Amino acid sequence: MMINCKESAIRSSELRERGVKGMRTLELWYHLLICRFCRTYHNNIQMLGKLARSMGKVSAGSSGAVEDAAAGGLPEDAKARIKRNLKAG
Amino acid sequence: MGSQQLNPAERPEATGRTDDPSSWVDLHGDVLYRYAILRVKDPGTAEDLVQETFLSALRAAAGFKNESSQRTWLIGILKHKIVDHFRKNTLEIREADIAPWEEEDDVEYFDRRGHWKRPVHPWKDSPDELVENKEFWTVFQSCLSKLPEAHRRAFTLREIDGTSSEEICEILSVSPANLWVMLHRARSRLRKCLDANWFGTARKEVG
Repeated sequence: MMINCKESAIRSSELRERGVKGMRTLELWYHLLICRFCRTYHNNIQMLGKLARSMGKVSAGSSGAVEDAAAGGLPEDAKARIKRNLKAG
Repeated sequence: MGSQQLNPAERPEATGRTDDPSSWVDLHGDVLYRYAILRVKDPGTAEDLVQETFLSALRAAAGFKNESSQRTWLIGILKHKIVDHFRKNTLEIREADIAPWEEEDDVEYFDRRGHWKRPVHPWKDSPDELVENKEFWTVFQSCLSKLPEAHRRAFTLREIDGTSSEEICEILSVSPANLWVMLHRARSRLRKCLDANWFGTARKEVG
């Protein structure tokens, strides 16, 4: 029934992909119940996923902190080249 | 009709829409480039993908329906270009990429019985506030760029773009088991980097 922290961290990540099933779930939840550090690790991983998803949503938009943090925009020479190519079809 | 004669709400910069392809570059080029560079990292590749996007859009312009904004339409094309780029440029997955833990992390984090050697600290910032914080995203993007290429691609597709695991396996030519390990490694590394460069910094300032 007992798994160690190393295995618990792997299953916390696995849970986001396919759902950990049966005994593997029970072992994970039991470990999270008794281990504060693994519970924290699990929560950190959940928050990381939430932040990454926000990043995807914002970076597809037109403005926001994610965009401001991104390095610059399309360089001017690239813009000029693309415009030329668009005109040429 | 020039944009000066239009009602402000109808101007291209407001609607994100213009029928003149050469003005697309000024209107949407920066957004598309930032979208691309976040996913492919290399500036030259990002520029090429943006150019291919505009050229494909030009060819498909007649088929563009007003169901979405022009920018959303262009980002949709760019998404496909990025996936095609990943498909064409498959990476060799090394044995070390699919070991559950990097040796360095294994030794640093866990004792011989597989228990944490030191405390794992909670992240106290609110995700909703972090989304609005430019400095946080600078750190996040820097951490993301430090991941091994295969792990970064897997994480970006799965967590940032929400692509299904099945589709990612097909795009990156990896087995589901290898993908799960790559994602676990990416999350673990990102968590460590963010903890050291953002959340840990806040703890030090408070403490």
